[in-house]
Amino acid sequence: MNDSIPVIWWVMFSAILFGIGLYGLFTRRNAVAVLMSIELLLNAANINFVVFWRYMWSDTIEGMIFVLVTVMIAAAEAAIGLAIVLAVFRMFQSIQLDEIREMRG
Amino acid sequence: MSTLEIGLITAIALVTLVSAVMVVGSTNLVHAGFWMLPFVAGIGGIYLGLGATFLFALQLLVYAGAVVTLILFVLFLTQGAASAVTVRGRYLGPGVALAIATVAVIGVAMFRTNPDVPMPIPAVRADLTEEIGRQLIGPYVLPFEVTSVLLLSALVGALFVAKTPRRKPVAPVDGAPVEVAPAALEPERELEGSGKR
Repeated sequence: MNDSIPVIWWVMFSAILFGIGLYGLFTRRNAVAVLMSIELLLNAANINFVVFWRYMWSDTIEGMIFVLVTVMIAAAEAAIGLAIVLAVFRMFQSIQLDEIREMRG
Repeated sequence: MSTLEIGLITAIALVTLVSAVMVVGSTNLVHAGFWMLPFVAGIGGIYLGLGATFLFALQLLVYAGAVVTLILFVLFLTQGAASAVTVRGRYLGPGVALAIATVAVIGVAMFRTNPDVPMPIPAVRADLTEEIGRQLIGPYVLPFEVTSVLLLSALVGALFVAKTPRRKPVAPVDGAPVEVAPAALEPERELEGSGKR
């Protein structure tokens, strides 16, 4: 009853999530979908923080502080990114990334 | 961890993986946005299974509560440009190759490193959330305050970027008369006026 999931399974799980996010980052053309893929990448990285905190340093709280700061940065990034998407949409009437070519305001 | 706990965590991990695949693979972007919900909830469930109850609450509040709502909001706002149903990008092959290569590199590095962790993992301390609160205003007060400044500047910046320009600078398009642009702005200004009344 004292067994637990080996840490390598967790790392592989987060690596697979990271790979899925990278795939989305490269194949999506819509700007909002790209932002969703970035959220996948951030969450996959956060799992590693929590797993290694739990398995090796669970008497401290550094891992949780890292995740706390990362989640806050992700929230700020989502707010700014989506605001930029809205501004781009107003200017180009499109958020397909390969249709937005010119930088002239 | 008991067998039941391991089974539960495995089920949550599978749900998370499936919803992650649907987030990046769904052809309807609104469906992809809604698949974000089981994804972030599954990540939160994994935090809960690992004993990080505070992060579980944080994940649900920030991601399921705010970020996913924001993403769906922007998706609905920009849907008019027929962008809801997406077309496959050109980089399908490189995307798959890069994803597989990343997983392979991390997997090989991890198996070769073979991290030495104590296998009966120690129990989480009971006053974990209390300790986080105590240390956030103690040794970690600087990152905490920097985060709050970052959030404030993100708030102001998002407001500035996304706000409707009151009067667009009239860019002279070749050949087009300059007077056209203010006329095109008229309905918008009327709409603002009626909103105030």
